[in-house]
Amino acid sequence: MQSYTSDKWHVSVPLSTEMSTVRGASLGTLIASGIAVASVAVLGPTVVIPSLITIAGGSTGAVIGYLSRKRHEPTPDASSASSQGEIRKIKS
Amino acid sequence: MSPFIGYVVASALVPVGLPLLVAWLYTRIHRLRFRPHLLLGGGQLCFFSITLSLINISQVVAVRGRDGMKPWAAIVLGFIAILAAAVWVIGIAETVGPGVPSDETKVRITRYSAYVAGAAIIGGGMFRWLAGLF
Repeated sequence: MQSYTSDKWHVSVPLSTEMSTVRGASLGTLIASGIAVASVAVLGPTVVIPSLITIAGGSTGAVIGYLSRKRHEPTPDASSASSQGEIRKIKS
Repeated sequence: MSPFIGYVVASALVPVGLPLLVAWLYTRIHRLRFRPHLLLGGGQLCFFSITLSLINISQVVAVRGRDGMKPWAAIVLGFIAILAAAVWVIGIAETVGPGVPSDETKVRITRYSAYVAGAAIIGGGMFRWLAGLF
C-alpha cells in the first residue's frame, strides 16, 4: 500500500475496471514485445511467432487486469475516504 | 552511427527525452519541483506511440519484397496503436470525470502510456529489423 504522510488515514478504493484493464494490457504488451524480440534472436527471422506472442501478451494482460481490479489508493482526508470505500487508521 | 542506434535516438530519445530535458531545465532555473506526471499525465506519450506505430507500419510496408511479414507488422503495430488510443481515452475519461483528478490518476496515465510507448519502440524496432531496415 502506498503511504500518505500528511495524515494518518488510508483507504482501499477499487481501481476502475477500464483503468485496470488498460494497465494489464499495456504492461502485458510491453513484456510480450520484449519476449518477442528475444524469440526472434533465438529462432531467427520469423514473423508469426513474435507477432502472436505480442498480441497474446497484450490480450492476456487485459484479461488479468480486468479480473484483478482491486487496488489501494491513498486519499487526502478521512471524509472523502469514507465516501469512496473501506477506510482504516494507520497505527503510529 | 548504426541504423539501430539511429532508430533509438531518432524515435525515442529525442522525441521523448528532449521535451523532458527542457522541462527539467526550466524547473531547475525557476527552483520548482520536477514532476513528470504533470507534463505527461494527459496521455501525451500515447500520441507519440500512435504516431511511431503508424510510421513504422508505413516504412515496413514500403520495403520491397518480404510480403509475408507486412500483414503481421500491420496487425501488431496497429494493435499497439489501438491500445495507445485506448489508454489515452480511458485516462482522459478518468481525469475529466466527476471529482478532482488526483495526482495518482495522472501518475497512472503516465505509467501506462510509458508502457505502451516502450512496446511501440520495441515492436517497431523488431519489425524494422525483420524488414532489413537495420
